[in-house]
Amino acid sequence: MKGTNFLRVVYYFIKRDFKIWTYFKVNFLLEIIEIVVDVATMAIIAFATKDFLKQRLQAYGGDFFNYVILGLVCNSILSVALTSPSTAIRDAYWNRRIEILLSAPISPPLIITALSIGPIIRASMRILVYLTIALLVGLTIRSMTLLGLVILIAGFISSIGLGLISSSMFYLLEAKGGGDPVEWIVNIIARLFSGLYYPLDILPEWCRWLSLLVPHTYVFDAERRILLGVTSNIPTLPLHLYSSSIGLTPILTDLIILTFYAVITPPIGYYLLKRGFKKALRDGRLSWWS
Amino acid sequence: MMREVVVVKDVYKSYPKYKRFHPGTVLGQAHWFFATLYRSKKEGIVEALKGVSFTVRNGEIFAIIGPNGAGKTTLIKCIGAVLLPDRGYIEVDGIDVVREPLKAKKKINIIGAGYWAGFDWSLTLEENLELYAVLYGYSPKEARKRIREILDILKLRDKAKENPTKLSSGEKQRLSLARGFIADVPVYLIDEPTIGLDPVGAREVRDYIKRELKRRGITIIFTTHFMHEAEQLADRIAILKEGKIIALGNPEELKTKFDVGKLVEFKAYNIYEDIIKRIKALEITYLDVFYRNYGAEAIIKILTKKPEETLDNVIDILLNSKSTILSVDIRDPSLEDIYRAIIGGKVE
Amino acid sequence: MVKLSEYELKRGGLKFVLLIAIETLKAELTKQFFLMANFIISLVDLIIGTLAYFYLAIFIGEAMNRYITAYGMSYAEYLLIGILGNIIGGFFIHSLYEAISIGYWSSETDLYITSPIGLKGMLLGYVLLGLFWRCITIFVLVVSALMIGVPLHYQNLLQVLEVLLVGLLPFIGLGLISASTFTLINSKSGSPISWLIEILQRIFSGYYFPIQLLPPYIRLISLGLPHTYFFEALRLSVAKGYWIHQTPHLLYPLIIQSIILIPTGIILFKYSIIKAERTGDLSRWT
Repeated sequence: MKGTNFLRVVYYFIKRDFKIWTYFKVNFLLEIIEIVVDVATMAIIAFATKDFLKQRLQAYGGDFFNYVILGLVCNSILSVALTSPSTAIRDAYWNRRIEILLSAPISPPLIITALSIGPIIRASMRILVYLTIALLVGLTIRSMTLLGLVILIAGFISSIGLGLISSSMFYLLEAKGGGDPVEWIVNIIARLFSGLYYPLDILPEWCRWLSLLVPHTYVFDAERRILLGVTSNIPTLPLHLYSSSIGLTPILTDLIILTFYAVITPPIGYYLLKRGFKKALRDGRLSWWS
Repeated sequence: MMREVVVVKDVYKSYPKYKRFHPGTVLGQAHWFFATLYRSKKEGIVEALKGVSFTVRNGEIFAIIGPNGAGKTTLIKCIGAVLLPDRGYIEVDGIDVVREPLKAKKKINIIGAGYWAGFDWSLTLEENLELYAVLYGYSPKEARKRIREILDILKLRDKAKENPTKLSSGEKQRLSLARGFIADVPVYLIDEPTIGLDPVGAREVRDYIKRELKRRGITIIFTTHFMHEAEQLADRIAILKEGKIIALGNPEELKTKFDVGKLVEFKAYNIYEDIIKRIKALEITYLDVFYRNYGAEAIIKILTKKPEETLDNVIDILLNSKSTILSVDIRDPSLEDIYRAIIGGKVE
Repeated sequence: MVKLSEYELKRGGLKFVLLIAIETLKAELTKQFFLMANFIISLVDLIIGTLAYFYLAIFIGEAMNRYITAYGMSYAEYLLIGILGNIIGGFFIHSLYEAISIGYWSSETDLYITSPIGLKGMLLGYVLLGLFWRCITIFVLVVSALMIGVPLHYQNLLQVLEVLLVGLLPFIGLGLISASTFTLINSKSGSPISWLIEILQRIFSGYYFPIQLLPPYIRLISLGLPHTYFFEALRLSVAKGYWIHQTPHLLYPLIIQSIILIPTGIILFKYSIIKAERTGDLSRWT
């Protein structure tokens, strides 16, 4: 029996995902239309509110369109990292595929990785389309440094770590009926408290501290500052007030926190995922039909 | 002496039943938050395997037969490393399945009864099978060649470009087999190979297993409900009942292993419930009744160690009850008859 | 050959259909409430989503208020009415398709097709389920709005009712057209028609902002969507107390669209059922 070539497996899973994605041509087209409409909607709101919000968004250059589009793009990247491992397991389980896949000579975490890469690539393509249309409509990116890329990667890795923790709940806590607590809590905080659609200063004081729990907050903040070429170090997060007293800029503070997340969450996620699979193998609850 | 390629020694497997709160409480329904805290309180266990031991030689076709709930699928899954036994030892081609499952999986492939359900319906048969071939290490070119071979053998070649949902149930079962046979491994574990197939399709699959796979020296362990299938295909048969192997050997050995006596068979009209009760009260090993023609005609099969005495007694009962006897036969029981007697609990 | 619908009417009539519908609804609600924790989590999700919308509305409200002075309401209320209107209109557009989809994917259509009961009862049950959840959503939206202090108008409920009665007629037609796509064009993963309408109405119907902000040539698209007139009529009735019959520029387009969409929807839906009976498209496993 030949050894399994992991890269070839990944390629075939991606090929399969794309075939499925483009099976419904109309749906594929509608997705593109949806992106165009979303961007246009934001552009119109931004145009309508231009002068009023300049002051409120001073820390990020003052333009609402730039602010919200960059938030949505970063959120898409982090979301797919968060959700694709658990979606991969859930999809394989409910489509009665998990046992067949796990009877192959390839370790469970690698299977989950291979299943997750397709959705990540698909999401990346959506993000590219999003960015392209946004650039055509009026998104202004002033600079893109290596630091910006590092922060994005750190945020992505942190989210993957959280995604692995989230996916481990599928077997560890038998969270098969729907979402799991990790994804749920992260999504709540990201949607409401991370500065995705609006700056945190419109929220009550106590809410702003909640924003520090998810990597999204730091990614949104840092990427907006870097990509919009903002040089004023106006503190926007509660932590910035403390870090500035020790000479750290907001971007550096965000980077340090994200690095911490990126180092801690993936090993924890991997360990919990392995434990989850081991539990399922022991209890005979790996597949729907066992 | 042929080497032993599968060794199963003292394997135990039980499934715990965890305490669950009444569904009416929020806590009970939130148990996916707190499941780990309350897991330790077990209501009981279901013992699926109780000290199962056997070996399978290289190139052998080995059947595991038993009633529903005997533990057949659990046993197959333990050998296939998709289920962890509680204790015991399982070895495939010299590899400890529990300690080194990834290595072991290169030597085994499980073919489940309903595995066709895991196929993507937006891909064709070929595309689906290509993915599984790649999982087992085939290059794209090798995969396509192998898929064509397997589809030819299983008579699915003309459906290669079809969507799996368009297949009949028999074709879907053959698709499960195709997925399994793609992997070129020394040991196949097949869970009910002919379920859902028509007689012609079932025979073709049996022929493939008996001729082609046997010729290539592949070891096969399969489960089945049908003794005639096990008898036809297998070199050796294990009878599994309530998690234990109660008999193991080739078909001839099994026939002589159990002293069930002879089979006395009656065909008669007008057989009523009270007649059956009176026959059951006689000193017999096992009784089975098959009705035909809307209950008018019955075939009564009796396993007994005193065939002549039983014959006389049953004839008396039938004549006194004004039944009409069509035919009587005394012969050696088939393995199917012995198996039914064993499962029915009248034979030790 | 007796068609399904005729058989069913002969079998027990409307009373029987209602009985099946209620049993379907009860069974589904029991299933969904069985996992009470999941229900609570869904509610929390809904509240969070609503709050995110409203905080956005508060953030840009000051700037947007100058464009909506004609309505006499805050931007948060303007947005809330858009959302509520979309949910109510969405019920008529999506619920029948959703009912067929749920029945198909849970293999219940197989069950009802092969029995003398037929599909009407099951479909009605799932439509009522959709109605139930949308009512919960509307309730949560309104309560959340009040929680964060969005000022709401309550006085003109009769005017609002009239708008709903007239304004939702085109949506019924769209719903029938959307549901017909399940078997007519075999779109089992979502109706492309309702998806397209959902996308377009976000930008062209005055959902987030008045259509006056759009370039004039783009507004032509808005004129083709019933949502445009419906949202406008709702907002004017809520805040200003206008009856829809007092606003002919809103009433007549809605009526014209109903006259076109409802018969089209009925014809397409009927044809989709006939096609399904011939091809077995409503049965998952045959």
